[in-house]
Amino acid sequence: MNINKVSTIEAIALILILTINRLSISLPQDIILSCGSSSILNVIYISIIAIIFTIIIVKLFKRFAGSDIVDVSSFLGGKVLRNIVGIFLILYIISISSLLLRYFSETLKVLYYFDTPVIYILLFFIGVCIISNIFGGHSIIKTNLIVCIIMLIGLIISFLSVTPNMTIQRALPILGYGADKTFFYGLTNLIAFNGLLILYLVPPMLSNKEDFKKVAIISIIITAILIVFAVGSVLLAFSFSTEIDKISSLYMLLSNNVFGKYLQHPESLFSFTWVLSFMSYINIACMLCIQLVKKVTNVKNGKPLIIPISLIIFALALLPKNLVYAHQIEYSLYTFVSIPLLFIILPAILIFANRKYKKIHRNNYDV
Amino acid sequence: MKENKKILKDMLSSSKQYLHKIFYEDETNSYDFTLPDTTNAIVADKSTNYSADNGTLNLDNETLQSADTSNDKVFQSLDVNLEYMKTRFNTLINSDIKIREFTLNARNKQYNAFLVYIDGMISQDIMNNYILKPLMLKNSANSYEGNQNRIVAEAKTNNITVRKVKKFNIIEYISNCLLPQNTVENRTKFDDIVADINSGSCALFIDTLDICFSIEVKGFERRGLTSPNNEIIVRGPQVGFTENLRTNTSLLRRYINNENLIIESINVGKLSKTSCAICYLKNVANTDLVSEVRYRLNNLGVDYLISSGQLEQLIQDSDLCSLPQMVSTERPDRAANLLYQGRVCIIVNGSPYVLIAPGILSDFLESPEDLNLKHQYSNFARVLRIVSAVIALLLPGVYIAITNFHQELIPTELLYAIISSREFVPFPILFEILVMEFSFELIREASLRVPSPIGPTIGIVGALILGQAAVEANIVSPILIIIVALTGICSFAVPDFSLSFHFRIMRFIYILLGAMAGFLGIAAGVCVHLIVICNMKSFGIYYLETNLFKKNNVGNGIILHPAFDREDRSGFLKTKRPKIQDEISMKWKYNKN
Repeated sequence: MNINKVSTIEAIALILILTINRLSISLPQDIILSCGSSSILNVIYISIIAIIFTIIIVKLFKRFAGSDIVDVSSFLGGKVLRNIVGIFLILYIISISSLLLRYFSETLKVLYYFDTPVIYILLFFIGVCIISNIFGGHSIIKTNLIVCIIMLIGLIISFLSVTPNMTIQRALPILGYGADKTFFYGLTNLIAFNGLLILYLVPPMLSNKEDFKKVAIISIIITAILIVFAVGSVLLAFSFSTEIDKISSLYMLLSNNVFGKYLQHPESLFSFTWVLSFMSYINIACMLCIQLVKKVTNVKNGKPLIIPISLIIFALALLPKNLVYAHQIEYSLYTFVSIPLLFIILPAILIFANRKYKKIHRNNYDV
Repeated sequence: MKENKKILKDMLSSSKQYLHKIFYEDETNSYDFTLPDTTNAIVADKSTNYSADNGTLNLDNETLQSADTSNDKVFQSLDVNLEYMKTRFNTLINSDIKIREFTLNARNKQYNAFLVYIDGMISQDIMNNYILKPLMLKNSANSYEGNQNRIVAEAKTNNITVRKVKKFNIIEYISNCLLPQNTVENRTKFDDIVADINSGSCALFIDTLDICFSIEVKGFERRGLTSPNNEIIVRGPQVGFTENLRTNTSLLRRYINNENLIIESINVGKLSKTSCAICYLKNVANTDLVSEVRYRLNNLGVDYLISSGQLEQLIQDSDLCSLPQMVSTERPDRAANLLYQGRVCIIVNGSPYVLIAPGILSDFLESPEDLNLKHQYSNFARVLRIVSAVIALLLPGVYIAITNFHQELIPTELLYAIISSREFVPFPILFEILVMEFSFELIREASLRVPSPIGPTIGIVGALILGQAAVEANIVSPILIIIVALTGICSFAVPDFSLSFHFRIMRFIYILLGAMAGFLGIAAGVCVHLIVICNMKSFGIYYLETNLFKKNNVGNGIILHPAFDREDRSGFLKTKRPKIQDEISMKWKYNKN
């Protein structure tokens, strides 16, 4: 199950899928609730920061072409740091994916499967995850590309379809709850770019290692555009002062939209694409965990790990009591773990590794 | 007590070994072939030279592939000519290229000679009676010993006789006296000779002569060739493969007039020794692909082989999925087209279906007619086929998902209509749809098995009377009849029989998934289906090649480009000749050479 021939477009889809899923559940309303009418401004602001940050990450990885953050940690702090970073990343991916899975399953339950126990819905995702991972990483990545395209088309159609309901005045006052809320506290909305996690892991998977820069920048720009459109369409169609429903804002947006006499409520079709992309997301999360476990423990055969990791995700997804609880934990995890991890700890490892590299190769002219 | 401890110890050590095996040993090696990049791409290098020294030719086929052969002329030495022809036609592996060496009798002298021809393209009768017989057997024509020169004109002046004589000419003699054929051409260039042989003539080389006689002995199989039964097209050739291997190879040769078409013979089956042929274009197909096909055919431990369908199952990459992994066609034009693209054909004696490897998903959604039509028509038909394939696969499942879980998708008026039509139906929708789908499959199977005149009758009886009766008896709702009928029609629009079969099976799974969890179940099915398809390989090539978006490919994309824009061969085939036509193919229009 070694993955080392991921094309540029497949790698971009890999990064996009992490963001796209959150668009369909909680991301737009989280941003709007925190910034009000200045959400679009805030999203543009954090997008610029994310793009600059991505460029810095690419620069930092330049000396370690074809290595991921675990390899870089190994170079910096030997086996100990490698294992610490590896285990931390495994725990992070498992917990985030299981919480998102629970949150999404609860959303589905509220929308369509009122009388169905959530465990029944979860089993579909876990079943697909196990089967997919048995078939291997290559097919997961290829499927993800197809699913990502379907999902993007669905999102673009849904954005376009709500344009007649948009009112520009809803973006006023332009600074929303104030400049500090938009530009300082609003920095926490950088969690929208949690797809950056893949950037730290994708370099060894690329078939052409030189494409890392291209993959990183293109995917972050597409992510930024999607977030701007998603937040914009929700904000301009609903008034931010009215309480946005806690259940998938994009779904509510579509269900309140009038599509005509013959196709009155096509939101189920869009939710079909969201389910697909979420399945792909869980597959990728499990695949990444297996890759990390293999790296940390030097295990050669990853197949026996599929069922245990899938079951851990399943068990963790069952822990939260309900939807609100799941969302709260997920939000806290993003705010208190994701931001420090993605924007402070991992870049710090890269900076120190670069310094060490310079020290070692001081006498070489090529540094 | 001691025994228990021992058993416990053994158990612990064996479980330790087992854990070590699964965690610290490599994955069990399953056979996995991936097509590598071609190592010997053909680059026409006009400077490549070869010479005929001391009666031997310093030439191999690889050199010949990259050389400019347009000026190659017939040598005087018969051995050199023989070696040249053998190299050019790859006679060591090419099974239907025949070289007949013999001694020619002319004017009581004997010359060494040989004939080159393609088996299946010539008439055996003409060859034996009107070529070999006059040349080999002694008769009045070739026994005549007239060495004297022929006097053309004579004049006498002052008792001096001036005679204009024509010297004896062996070439003229053979052509005029020994070859009783209507078309005999004297050729000096090898390119002309090879072209003649490819089109069904035979070439006669004689020692010491630097020309070759190209004798027309065409004798294709004409009787017995019928139009294909299952791949019917409107515009295009109406001839299909037959059960005879040699007839099939000659059909291919008629489309591919090129000496690089190699037809290798292999016998499969310990008892049956069924003749099979591997066909490919030597200067196009990837060598590793050809080797892989040859390897799989050579390593079959079966007693007998009856048909190409049986062979397909024996050499396919995986049996996990019911999707077809090799193109099966009864049309020589389609097989030739795929050969030109760089694929490999396998012909089985006794089977009118030819296998083509590798096969990717888009091959099975293509019709042989696509290339004969304008690209706008083909693209329209292709989109129609893809939509119908999706409908054939998902419609019943989606219907059950919508009616059970996502009713809001249905317009209110239609929802009322569905509810009212189901008012008197006592069964759940799942039961209704399974009964109807099962009945439909039954009708389809029954109409295939009964004699052809009764077939349509069964279809009409089944579809009209049974459906109508089922609705009137309140067993099923009328809307369901529409759903099942639409699904059935769409499944007929899928061009490949095997793919259509796969959809028929998968449809039942989607029905169950739709009934279990609506769109969630169908999404799970689609996701797993995609994973399986993405994982599948056909002869080292991934089944769902994503270079569908690449421009200029011949026909591996969803959208077929205009004929002038199809410049490249499919990239995934890693062929020796990446280009299929010049950048400007319509030179007449743009006046570029």
